[in-house]
Amino acid sequence: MVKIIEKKSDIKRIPLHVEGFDEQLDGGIPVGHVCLMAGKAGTMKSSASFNCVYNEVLTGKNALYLSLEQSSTSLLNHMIGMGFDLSELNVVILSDIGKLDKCIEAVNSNKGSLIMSDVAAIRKQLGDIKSMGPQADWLNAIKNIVQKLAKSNACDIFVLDSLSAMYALSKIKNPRAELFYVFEFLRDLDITSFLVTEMFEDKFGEYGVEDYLSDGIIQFAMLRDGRKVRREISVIKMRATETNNDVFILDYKNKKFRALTKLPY
Amino acid sequence: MRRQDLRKFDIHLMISILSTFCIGSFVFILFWITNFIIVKPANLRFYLWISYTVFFLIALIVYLATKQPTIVWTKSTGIEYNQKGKYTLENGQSYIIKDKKKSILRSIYKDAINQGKTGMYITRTNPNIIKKKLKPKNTLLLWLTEVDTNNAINPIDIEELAYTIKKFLSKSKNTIISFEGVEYLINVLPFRKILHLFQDLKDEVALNESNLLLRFDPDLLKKKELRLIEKEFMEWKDGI
Repeated sequence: MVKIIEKKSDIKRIPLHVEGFDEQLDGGIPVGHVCLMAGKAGTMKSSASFNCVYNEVLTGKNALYLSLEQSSTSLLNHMIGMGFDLSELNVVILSDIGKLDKCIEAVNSNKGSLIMSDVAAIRKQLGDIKSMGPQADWLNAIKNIVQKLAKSNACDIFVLDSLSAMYALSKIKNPRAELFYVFEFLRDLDITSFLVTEMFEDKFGEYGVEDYLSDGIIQFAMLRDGRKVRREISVIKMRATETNNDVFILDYKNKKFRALTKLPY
Repeated sequence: MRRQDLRKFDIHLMISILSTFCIGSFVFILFWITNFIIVKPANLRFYLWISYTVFFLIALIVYLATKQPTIVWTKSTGIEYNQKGKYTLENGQSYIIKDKKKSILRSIYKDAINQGKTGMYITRTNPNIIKKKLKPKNTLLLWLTEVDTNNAINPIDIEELAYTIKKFLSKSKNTIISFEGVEYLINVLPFRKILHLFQDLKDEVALNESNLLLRFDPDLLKKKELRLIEKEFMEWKDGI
């Protein structure tokens, strides 16, 4: 539940751990925000989200990374390939929702845990083959997982990768209303949520309402500069935050993300 | 008055002192001859010296009020000679060195390092050759190249270059940055982008009280490009 703060400095923030960019966000994303990580394919939305989660787990927080586009194992292998050292974390792979209680035990017994889950785990919860597809209640299944973990203090940060994949799995009849309740649901859990979303031209989500409903939007882009391809990052919106909306070059080097000031011309 | 090695007095100050002496003497003697002042011959010398002193003080006050006396040995470039090193670079100042060869830049850079500064040397030359020629101490050597190797920066990644230099500046004050790949950058990137980079670095260097030296062959730049750079930076002229 969001409380009224006395002063600006009372707002706790979660940095993205992108050097040079967190300063543009007053230090980070306010705790409890629902933030879109929006961009086209290949713009490092998932990598940046994972980077944030990874570094926050190192500080002792718990995080749930729910991957609907690739398996947990595949995603972790990709991140290891990028240089993330998973041996420094307590990584819990939730492959079966039925074992959620054991997962919560594993999380609470170790400080700073990263829970990885994927569509296969949800599929098991949804039961038999007849339950798969748009008719299945994928959205509620996801909500149940997040709710249980959050209420057990096993989840401070939630990453859904991606919102677009969730739309593909679920048939949303009334997007504005249903998504409104999803966003409110996440806010009520008092966790900070990152929703990775594909951009469609100028829209930050398939239904064009995600940007209105979210508390913040971080945009990722890819730009061709001659034969050089650059990635860019910028803050489109962030509530309760004094932001610099300039576009920065997003650079990943020596296992660190950096935002470099973009020179004009 | 700035503290400097006294190599040359301000000519105006010398004239002021001499003219005060002459005028003072003349006026006093004139007044004595015409009996405007009654002074016994025995006390003449004493009163003469008092009048010299009074006139000199008046002249000095007038001189100080009308002209700031600066006893300096400076060229318009702002580079000064110092007993400790061959050159002293004015803190916070950025210079362009119009030179077909790189020897002058290297000489100034080496002198600055020998005077205790920390430096960054950005070059197109093979760094191993630089190390042999300069033997640079307290130096971060950066090679401008598209080859992916240690301490190399791809010129296309101009933002990376800007970031690296600014990070270097943030670590300590009173540093020196030497740049001898200006023509290479111009060949690879739009001139406006490079000028913006240099303008940005010039401001950072000014805040940091460091120095930036840009060396290039002026014949390789277009007239307009050269003029734009000249407008921004102080030119180093024959400071040896």
